[in-house]
Amino acid sequence: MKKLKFFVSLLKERDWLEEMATQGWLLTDIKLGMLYYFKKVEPCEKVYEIERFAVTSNSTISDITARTRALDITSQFGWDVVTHDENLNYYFVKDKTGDETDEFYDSPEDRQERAERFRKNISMETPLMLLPDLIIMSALLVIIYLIVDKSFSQGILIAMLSLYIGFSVAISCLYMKWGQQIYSELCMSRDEWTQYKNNSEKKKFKKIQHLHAYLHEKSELGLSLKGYENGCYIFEEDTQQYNYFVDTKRCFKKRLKKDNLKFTEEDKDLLSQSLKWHEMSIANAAQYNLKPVAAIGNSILIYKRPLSDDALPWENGNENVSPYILSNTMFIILTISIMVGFVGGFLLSIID
Amino acid sequence: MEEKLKKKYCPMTETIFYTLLALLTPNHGYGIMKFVKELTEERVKMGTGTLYTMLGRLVDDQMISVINEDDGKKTYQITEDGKILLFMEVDRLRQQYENGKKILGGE
Repeated sequence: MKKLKFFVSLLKERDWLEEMATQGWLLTDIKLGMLYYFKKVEPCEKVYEIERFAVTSNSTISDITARTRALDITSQFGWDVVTHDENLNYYFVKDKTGDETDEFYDSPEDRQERAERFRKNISMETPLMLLPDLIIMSALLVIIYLIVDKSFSQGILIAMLSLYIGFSVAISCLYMKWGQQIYSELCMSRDEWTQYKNNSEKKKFKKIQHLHAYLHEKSELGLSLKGYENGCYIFEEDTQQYNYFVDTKRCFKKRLKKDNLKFTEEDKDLLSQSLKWHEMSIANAAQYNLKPVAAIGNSILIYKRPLSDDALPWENGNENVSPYILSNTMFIILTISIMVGFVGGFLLSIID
Repeated sequence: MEEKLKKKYCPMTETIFYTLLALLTPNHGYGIMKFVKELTEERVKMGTGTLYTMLGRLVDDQMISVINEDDGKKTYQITEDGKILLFMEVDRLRQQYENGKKILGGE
């Protein structure tokens, strides 16, 4: 049987393969990272694992001999190599025994090391491949313009180039984010992953009220917010019920203003990395017995406090709370430069 | 032996300590895991990946060496340097144990 499926998450892919085995489908091959081939067997319990040995630009001899050594040991422990994909990620399978041999890596440090291999590949090597592409594409456009065809204007040329550069940068950013997500997943043991999966939800909220409503709903189900990571809200079971309070940088600044104080950004902080408002907000919230539980992007903080009739710490406005991929400044600089290139080029072509 | 290695392996992790103990007699991957599991009454567990990552590191640092390969199974054994470090670690653990006992006032 052939199945077309694309996974952003490696561990969800692993879960799916294990689920397929319980329905009697064993993986035999993977092509292009999304075409899965299965053979029919008796339903059985299997565990899968994905590992990477590929060499990188700065490999040590140890990295190079890693595969031979690993394959020797994995076979002794009952792991069979199913296949590897085009990116040289190896898929291992073993009968599920329910003991410690099901866990590939049992120390957090080793899991981190593997996770780092994957992150390096996704966040750094893949975007780097875009670079020659970008150069070749730009060179081609210029050559076409100079030699082959001068009928389209310089303006169009500049406009196309800036669009293309913008596109490449956006793709690179997505890859970086993806690598980060894979990294934090792979750092989890099987137990941690199961717990994370059951207690986390990927959510996006446009307005603060929606976020409030969501957290309140969860609280009534006996779940309290524990943190926020990679776009996911992570909960834990808790008999205690909580009130949640959201603080945003804008709301915080407004409160200061009311008290005739002025918030000044930290010096030289071009990329909005400063912790200044976070620290001030947390200190302020502590007076109301609020405990910080999660930060979203760099402009939102979520607090919780056991249900009580204590005074409300602050009023939330009608604010947008969607997190950004890039820090605001970066985003603005990028958008402006692409827009200037595009519009400028376009205008040039009209003047021509 | 280089000073750098002494720093790297003293103190050493429990898995490295028990692996070196296991390799006082030649052994292969699965054998190491079984030896350690029995000796520590299932307290110290070693995953497949953990084991090959660690063996690789130990071979690189010449704490252990591959002595032969039969039917595709690599057999490892501790080296002289590995033994020296193992004795150093036992000495360190003895001191740690005695310090703890003295301050906590155990028997």
